[in-house]
Amino acid sequence: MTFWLVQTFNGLSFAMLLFLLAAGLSLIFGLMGIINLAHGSYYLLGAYVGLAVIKKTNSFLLAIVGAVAVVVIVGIIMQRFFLSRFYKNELAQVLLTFGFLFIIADVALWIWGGNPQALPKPSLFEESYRFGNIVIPSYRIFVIGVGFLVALALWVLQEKTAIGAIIRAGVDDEEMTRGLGINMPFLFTIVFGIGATLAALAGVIGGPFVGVYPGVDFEILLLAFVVVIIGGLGSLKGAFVGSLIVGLLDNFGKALFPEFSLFTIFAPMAIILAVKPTGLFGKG
Amino acid sequence: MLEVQDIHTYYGDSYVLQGTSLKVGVGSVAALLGRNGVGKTTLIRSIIGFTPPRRFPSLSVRENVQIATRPQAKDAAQSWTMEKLFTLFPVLKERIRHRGSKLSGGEQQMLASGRALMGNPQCLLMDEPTEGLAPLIVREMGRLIEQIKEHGLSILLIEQNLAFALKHADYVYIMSKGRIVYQSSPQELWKNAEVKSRYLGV
Repeated sequence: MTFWLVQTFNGLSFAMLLFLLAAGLSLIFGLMGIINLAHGSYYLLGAYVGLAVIKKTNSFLLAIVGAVAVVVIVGIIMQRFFLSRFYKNELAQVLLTFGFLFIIADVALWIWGGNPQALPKPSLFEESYRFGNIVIPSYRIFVIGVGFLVALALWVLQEKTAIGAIIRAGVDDEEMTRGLGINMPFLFTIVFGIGATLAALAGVIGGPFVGVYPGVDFEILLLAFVVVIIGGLGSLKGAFVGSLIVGLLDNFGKALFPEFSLFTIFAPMAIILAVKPTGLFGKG
Repeated sequence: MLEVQDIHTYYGDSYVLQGTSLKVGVGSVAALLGRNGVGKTTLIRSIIGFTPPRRFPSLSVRENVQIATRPQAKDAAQSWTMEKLFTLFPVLKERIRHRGSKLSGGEQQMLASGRALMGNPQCLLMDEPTEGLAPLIVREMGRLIEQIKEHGLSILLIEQNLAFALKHADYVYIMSKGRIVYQSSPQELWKNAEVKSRYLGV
């Protein structure tokens, strides 16, 4: 019983981390059709910048601010000056973002070295709670809380605000939205910026328990893509449900059958795709 | 208001518009008639660059209207507002929270027309606004066109419904095989049985 509860908690907090990445990935794909392979690199970069800021200032909050600022600038440069030239050209986008993935990984290796590192937890969430013989670190509860808050905020943004209506209009029919006189290139940059913000946030808050090391960009990108494929491209609800499925499967898979940990994710993904090729909440 | 001169449009190798010209005067309605496939929609496409679909399925009626709103800079009091629009289309007010995907065909047409008005344009291009509508709704659409005209807008009305076009247009063009083959006042066309049977099949 203890084992199941603790693992469920760990799985949930990892799921929320995946949600931060998958929500941005899915939103960007839904609106612009961009497959951004460098999305995991935003996580990596966010974590390293966050770590550097914490070492200097000892402030977790400043680490988030710094990481988001740097990653958003990198993301917007990528979108405005590179990806916007290859609109609707998936092959070029994949190759381009794959190139960025390597460049960012190598620059990070050059600056921060190859040793695995972890961000310190914020002092507010150092302690653990004890329920009977179950020990839950308060930081995990914090991560789950952040995930739920971000999900709620994104839902409100998408369903209840004017900009959300414009984003949904763009997903429905990009040409007609442009025809109404809406500045689509500007909207694309904003949405790309939101995606980069969430990935950087994931990097900093994932830093204390996932850590940051060369290769984490690719590992987390792979899982985020599995989430988006299971949940359905372009669906926020799909990203949320997909994250819960993948986060829990990954955690229990690693805990119960460590030698088959990839199998426990990809086998359910294959089954879901066989039954519903567009993912759980995908259109079409 | 809108003048098109000698447009030539190709889809790959097929020569669709073969030198089309027409004119819509300020505050008037010009109707463009013709059978299926003579190039009417291609003409719209050539003018604005794309063919507009009807509505955004994931947006509510309110949001559909909201994102299209562009107040007129010169005279804010003359601008279309959501209230004005709903006095014109009471049905849409009842459906304000419904998603675009949940509307009937007639409601979708009204929403598309209403949304176009919210941008406070000077000229409207309407591609078969009566297509697939029940006779009662067609009459509503006619009433709408008259009201839009009173607001001083110009309309290029593309239609297959001859009676509707003759009733509301100030001038009519007939298109065949990518060319304007006939133009006159609606009254003249009404009397000209030969043109009607040759190009419109009535």
